[in-house]
Amino acid sequence: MKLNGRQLGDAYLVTVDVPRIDAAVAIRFREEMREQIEASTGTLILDLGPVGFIDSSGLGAIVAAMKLMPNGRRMELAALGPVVDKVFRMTRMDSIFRIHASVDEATAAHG
Amino acid sequence: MKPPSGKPDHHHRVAARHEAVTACLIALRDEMVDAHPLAARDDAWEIVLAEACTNIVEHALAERPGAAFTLSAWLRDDAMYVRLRDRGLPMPTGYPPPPCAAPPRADTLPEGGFGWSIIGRLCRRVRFARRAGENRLDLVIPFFAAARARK
Repeated sequence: MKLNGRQLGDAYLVTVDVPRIDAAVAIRFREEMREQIEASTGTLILDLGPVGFIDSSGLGAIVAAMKLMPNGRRMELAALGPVVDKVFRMTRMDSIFRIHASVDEATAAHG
Repeated sequence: MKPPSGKPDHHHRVAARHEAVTACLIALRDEMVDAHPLAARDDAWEIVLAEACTNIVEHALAERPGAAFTLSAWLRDDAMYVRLRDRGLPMPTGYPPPPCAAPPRADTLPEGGFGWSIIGRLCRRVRFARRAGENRLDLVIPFFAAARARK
């Protein structure tokens, strides 16, 4: 699991540099997200651009990570590929998260 | 609904571990890129099979180290026909659970339970049977169904 985080002004960008978030890595993903959340401040932008495949276990891990966010902080998503986008739409989770088309759009929104 | 007769185009014996499911799906895609390049460009089949195989690992074959199941796939122009077989626990109700119709709520967000809904949305047919101690799940996954499901 490779999560690369960096503070960008008021926002914190976490790039998920793995090809798949599935049942094989879901627990590790959630635990590493916990470390990223604890090490950061502000809105957390999750860059899913490198992720080519996700299943419902991976989706559940992202939801679990969102629930770890302290009060007053938000998690937003960016750069969903076709499969990730489909899974979020089919489960209607796209209505729960603010989703940005690209990382640039997400970071611009948080100036 | 039965799978097509004859030898499957793809057949895998999969250990009941999540890592083995991932490896199987990657191997299946590699096989399809060569043998069925158009079908390999679709993604619905991989989404469905990930959910169905994960269910077997986490439920039917949970607590059974060393167990395995089989995945057989027949590819036709319009769809992938799949049969998954395991000798694990039966489904508690005898049938796959109904899909969850309610949209998620921000205050009670579920972290799971999406699998059968996804399978139901992307498959043309889902049939489960328990015969002589064996679970048999037959799926028909139309190609490019995900695009239709979004409409």
